[in-house]
Amino acid sequence: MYTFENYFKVGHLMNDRDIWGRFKTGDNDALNLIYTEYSKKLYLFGLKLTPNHTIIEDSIQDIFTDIIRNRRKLGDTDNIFFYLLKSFKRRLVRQLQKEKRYNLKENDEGFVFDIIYSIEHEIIQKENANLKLQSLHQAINQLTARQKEAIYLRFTEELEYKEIAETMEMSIEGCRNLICKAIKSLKDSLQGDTPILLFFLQKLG
Amino acid sequence: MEANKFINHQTTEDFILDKEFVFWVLHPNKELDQFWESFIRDYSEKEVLIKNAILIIESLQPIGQIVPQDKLNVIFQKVQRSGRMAKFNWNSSLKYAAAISILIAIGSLIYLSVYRKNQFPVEASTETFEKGKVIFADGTTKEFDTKQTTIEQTITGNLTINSDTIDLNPDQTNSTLNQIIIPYGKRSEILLADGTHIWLNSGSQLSYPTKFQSDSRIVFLTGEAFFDVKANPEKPFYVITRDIKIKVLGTSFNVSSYSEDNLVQTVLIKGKVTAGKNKLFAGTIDLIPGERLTFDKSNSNISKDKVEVQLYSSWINGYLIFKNKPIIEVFTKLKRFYNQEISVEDGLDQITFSGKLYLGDDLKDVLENIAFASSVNFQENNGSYLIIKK
Repeated sequence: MYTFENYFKVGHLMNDRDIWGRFKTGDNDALNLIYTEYSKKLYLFGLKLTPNHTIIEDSIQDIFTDIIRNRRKLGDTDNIFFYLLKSFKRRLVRQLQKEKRYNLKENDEGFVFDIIYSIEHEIIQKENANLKLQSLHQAINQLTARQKEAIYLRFTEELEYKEIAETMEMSIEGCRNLICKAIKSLKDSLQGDTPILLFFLQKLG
Repeated sequence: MEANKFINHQTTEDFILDKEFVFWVLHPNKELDQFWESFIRDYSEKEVLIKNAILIIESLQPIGQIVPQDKLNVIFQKVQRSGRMAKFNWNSSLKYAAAISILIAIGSLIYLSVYRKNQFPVEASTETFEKGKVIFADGTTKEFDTKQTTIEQTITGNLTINSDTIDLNPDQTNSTLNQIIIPYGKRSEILLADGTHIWLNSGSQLSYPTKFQSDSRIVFLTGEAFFDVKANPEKPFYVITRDIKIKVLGTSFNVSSYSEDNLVQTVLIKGKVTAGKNKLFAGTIDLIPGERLTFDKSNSNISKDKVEVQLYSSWINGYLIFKNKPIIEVFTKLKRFYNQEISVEDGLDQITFSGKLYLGDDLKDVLENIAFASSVNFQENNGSYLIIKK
């Protein structure tokens, strides 16, 4: 899959494998491209794990410092974002677990994946939002944090199941089931029993 | 593109779980649009499936996706610089003060921010490397370092931070969100253009639009904030947190919704609010002053009770009031507020606190006050504290 529209130096579409390869051999334009595109995405992912922007920024800095220092020795990849995300998440979570000060209860992971969906804004905008949308909204709010993370990686970052499974430390099959189950519940919410919904509906205000 | 690949899709999920379908929804282009338009024409029985699939995929996209671009640019400069430096073995040398002075001599303060006070063998200090920041809709950021900050939004959408005016890019659209991030250990006071006053507590994030919509005022909150909303019947004010949604016309209330807490609470001080779960059929509950709404994440239950409002809102004036508050909760609040490690020794969980606690500049002073007036004492170890039996 092509990630960048115009890699100006070469003048034609390049895929992740090529760009990464060029970066490894010392091409700093490739580094520029990689940083510009992916530091942003990593940051956005980090914000879903913690409000601590210092830790997020430090982790981004660490990751890129590492790959620059070791560029010649790095492996190859077909998906640069996934490659960076793996180390980024690991590092970020390790820092969060160390900083696990504000949660006195046992929380092994050190974070809870948290996201606000675009549907939130839609629902408010249209107080008379059709029932379908409201029903879907409720179903989305019932997703677990794990489901939300998997969905983000699949439907916003478009990672493969294999890559999502590795990022979330689960089996590929488990990952597939997690996402399928979540999507099915969202689909089901769109087929509510309309007459009854109308009867019991309460609006705010 | 071959239509054959998609003919066998019988359900909405089939489309949603199809990688190529998702790619089109997220990156539409002329070619793909044409393909799908004719596909829908040729297989009209699948039109509803496809429309629902698009609805779901689009609804699952996140909002408020802004990053501090200028901060990222600075990091890139540091990263490029470090790439040219000789490799330095961090792990063993950090334990020694000599290594610290070498770091400073090289001028690489960036590394200090990674290995923070918990690992440096230095005296406890209240210095923190975390700054508060505002991320504007266009990606620029402004950081602030004061323990308490006042942020004011003018009618034109510009911002002043502690009286420094920041001119914003005038061609931001109505629906763009700005974000204020307050790290643990700091507080901030925000005045919006409509006259609404918000106090943000430690470890909180508030997203608000550059300009409110014509028929509603919506903000998103993670953490804790106290709202004093300017009345406007034409434009109800909404506070959205992950679990609950609050609608107000003009009123003062406190919302506490930290992601690591089990309970989400709203306390009404003045006026009237209607609150409910962030979901359909959320039986809306009206609150009158002196009432608290609690949402329990563990069982999704929502309940209401009467409380002494001072216990929940005094923090904006710099003190906390407790009434039979379990020891763990007291120190959780202090940890957040001062951004310092506090642990409680085993066996002390039954202790509760009552009284008024001033949140002075130094956590040590606060702990000394507590030790003086109660049956606990504290030990200090390199900036972190342990609460022990007296």
